Amino acid sequence: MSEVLGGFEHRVLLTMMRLGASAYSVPIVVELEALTKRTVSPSAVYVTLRRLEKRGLVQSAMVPAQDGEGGRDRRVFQVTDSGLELLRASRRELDLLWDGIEALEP
Amino acid sequence: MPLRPAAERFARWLLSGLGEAEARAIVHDLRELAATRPRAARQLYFWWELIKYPIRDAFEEKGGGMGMDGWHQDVRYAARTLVRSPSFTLMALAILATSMGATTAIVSVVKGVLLDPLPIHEPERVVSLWLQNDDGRRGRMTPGNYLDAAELTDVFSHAAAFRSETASLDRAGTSVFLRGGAVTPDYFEAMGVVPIAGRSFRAEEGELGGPSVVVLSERVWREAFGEDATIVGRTIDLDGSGFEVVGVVPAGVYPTGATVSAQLPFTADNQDFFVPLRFGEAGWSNRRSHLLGAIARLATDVSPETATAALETLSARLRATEPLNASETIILNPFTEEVVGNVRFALLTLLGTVGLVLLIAATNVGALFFLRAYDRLPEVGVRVALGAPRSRLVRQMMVESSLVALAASIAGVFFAGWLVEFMKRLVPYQIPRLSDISVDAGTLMASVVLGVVIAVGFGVAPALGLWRPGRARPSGSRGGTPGMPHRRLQGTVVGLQAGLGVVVLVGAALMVRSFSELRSVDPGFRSLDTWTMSVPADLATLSAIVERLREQPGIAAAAVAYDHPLSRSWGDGFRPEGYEPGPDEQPPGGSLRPFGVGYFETVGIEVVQGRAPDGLDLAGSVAYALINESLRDEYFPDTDPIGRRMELPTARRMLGDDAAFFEILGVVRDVRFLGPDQEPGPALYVPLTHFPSGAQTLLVRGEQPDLDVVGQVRAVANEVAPGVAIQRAQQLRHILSDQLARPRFNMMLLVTFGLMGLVLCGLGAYGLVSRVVSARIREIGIRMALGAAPRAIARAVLGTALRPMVVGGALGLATSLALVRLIRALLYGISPADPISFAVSPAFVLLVGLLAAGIPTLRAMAIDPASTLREE
Repeated sequence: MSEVLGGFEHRVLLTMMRLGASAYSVPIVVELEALTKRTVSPSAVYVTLRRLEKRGLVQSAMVPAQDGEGGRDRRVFQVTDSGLELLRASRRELDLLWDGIEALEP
Repeated sequence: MPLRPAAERFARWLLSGLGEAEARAIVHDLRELAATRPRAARQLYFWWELIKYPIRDAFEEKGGGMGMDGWHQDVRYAARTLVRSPSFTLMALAILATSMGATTAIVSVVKGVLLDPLPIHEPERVVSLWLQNDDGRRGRMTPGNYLDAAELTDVFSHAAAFRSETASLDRAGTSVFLRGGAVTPDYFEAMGVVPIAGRSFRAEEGELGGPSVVVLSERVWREAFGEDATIVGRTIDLDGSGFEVVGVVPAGVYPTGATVSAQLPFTADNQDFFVPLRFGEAGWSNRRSHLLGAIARLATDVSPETATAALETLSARLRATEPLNASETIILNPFTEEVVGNVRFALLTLLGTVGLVLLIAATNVGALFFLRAYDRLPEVGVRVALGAPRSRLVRQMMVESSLVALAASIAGVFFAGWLVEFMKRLVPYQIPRLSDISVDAGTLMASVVLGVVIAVGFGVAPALGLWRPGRARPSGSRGGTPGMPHRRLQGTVVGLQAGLGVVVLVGAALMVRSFSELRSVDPGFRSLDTWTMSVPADLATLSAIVERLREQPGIAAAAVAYDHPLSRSWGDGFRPEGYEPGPDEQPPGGSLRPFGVGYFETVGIEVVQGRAPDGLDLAGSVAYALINESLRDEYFPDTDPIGRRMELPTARRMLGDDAAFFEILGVVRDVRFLGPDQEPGPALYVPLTHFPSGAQTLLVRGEQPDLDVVGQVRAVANEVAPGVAIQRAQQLRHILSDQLARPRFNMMLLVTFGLMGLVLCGLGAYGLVSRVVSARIREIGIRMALGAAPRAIARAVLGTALRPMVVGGALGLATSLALVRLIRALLYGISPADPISFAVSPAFVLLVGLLAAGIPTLRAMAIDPASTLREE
């Protein structure tokens, strides 16, 4: 199956890139909402992350509580190399498609 | 965002399909996210987003990642259709949420109180011991008989005796009044309680002349000593002497004093402290005075039956050898029974009632879903024609009802949590564990399952029957008058609801009637505004305070007494001089009530015969007494009691032979000491001047009810005896009101459930009649065009609801008649078959049915025949 990123998957991956090497779901939701000015359902982010993980585009680990974090475990996600590769490919594809469409510029 | 523990458990349970660690992480994430939302929206955000997790996850699994068909579509479709019919959705939600919430709350309380074990080690092995006489009345143990039982070491691993004790704890110039118990050294071992600090008593500390030691309750340790970690080993001041604190015991269920009426009270404030119970040799061999409460712990592998048999053997021996025990048996009672025995009945009544309300609600929701299934027949027809399998349609209905049930469960859980808190604040029963009760996960889950079963069972089952192949009505068919679906079935439902509603209402009405009977009982004294307060001081000081108080402006009357008129006071044996009880008779006695000058006037107890003693009488050498009407009727039925003498063995023991007799000076009205529903029994009023008995109660009445009596007393008391404490100041009115707290509580809950049932019946009737009207709108229009009078139409329409309601109501009355005998114990002053309750309840149900059915009936009467005909 040729790898294609869904719209929301694309957004989630890009948000993770912006947040740095690894992130858990809370900042992803907050950042996505801030950037898109839309409410984002945490459960949607959750299933998307699990799906991306199944496809090998992100990997995750349960990280035990650090001191001063209220003593809780969180699942931390990280974009994998193939995830990065797919992001680059989709960027190239989009750039190609956008190329020459100047009329849409404001 | 803060989350109650029960809510957190529920949230994790909802996510349990995702794995435990995952669920925990998600709940935390969501709390964190919720905290970024506006405060008012946080709870809603949390729960709304939370339930999406398992749903999305399920689609993800089924849809293999991309597809969102199947269940997903069903849920979307269901959610959309539910939103599109808000009146149906809201009504189903409201009915299910309130009834399930109420049920969950009551079940939580019942479970917490009746089913969960007591907070002691192996509570099933703890028993209480009582002496039962041959006519079945049980009483406290005598010291001698307690020792007899405690010697049965092969059946009891530990035994302990106790009696109540009070002390004033003096600290830094202020004093606190404590209530607790004097207990034998094995008490805590028998109870199965381990101290949280220090130790329990040692055997030598129970010896006469042993060291002054005390075990404090956790509450006193916390409130009076600020959880002082060094408390063990410290010496504290109780009643002016030093006591070494040897231990602190956790909050729990400690019997301290057994009451004369053979009950163990468990209020938190009579478990403040424990000191060793001590008697001399003569004291321990006493088999006459019923002074002690007793508990024992069964030895390993000894059943209560074995222990009972051993006690019977012992009692048989005592009957033969001890004349004082000739008609007595030592019996045991499970300790748990002592704690919850007297609340079980009321709680089970509540449970039964709330169950009936839930049943009414379930039938209502079922009817709603059924009609919905009927309305969908055209749609179903189209979809079947387009090739949709019937199973898919039913599944969709199922998803829809499950969504409603799930949402109702969540709302119901919040309602239940609120109700439990509310009940905890209100419950007047002595349930030490009540404060720990919350809606627990098990009850929650049961409630959710119940909701789903109700909605799916009542909602889908009819759809299965209705949507049989070939039944589906093609869309837009207009052949003749659309028939009412299963109108008979619906009538039956409305009738059933009316019947159940009548049963619930009869219960509520009986409670209201019984409560108003209780309230109208004359307590036997007039001055309800009199204040009572306990003042730890000697009689001379108290008398001086009273003297000064009488001179104060605004104070109408004041007196010293052993206790106020609504207390148990002192139970003791006494008898008319020369009276010999027959061989089968109870030893004569009753309530002994030591009083000071002005007592009867201050409290407003009427002297019906003879007179009350004045100061001169009491200062003299002759000891006068007053008796109540019950005593007169029992012992002087045909003679004038005035001038006769009463003999008081306790006075002889304390003061010698000369002090044992009291001359009757007057007869006073019966006061219902223990509450309006308790017969007073014989009472003997003896003067404190001739029976000094550690009186600590001041009774003071102001000329105006709103006068600051307590402030005045405090000021006067401080002048007479600087630093003296005024404690437990209360108006008699409030004590009387507290005595009514239980029946009031029972009444309030049953009335609440009754009203819920009534509203649900109304909804049912409304639903039926409005369906009838909208289904027959054309028929009605045509009939009116043909000259039918609106009144005839109204009668026909109303009849569809009222006929089954009358039949159901009659059946409900019959059922009630059979059931009310069960709640006889909760009633006072009325017969269980109280005609007023039985008349009013069905009338209410019918009235509400009439009102509810009236709205759509008016609509039917307003149908315009012309426009109906035009449509044809």
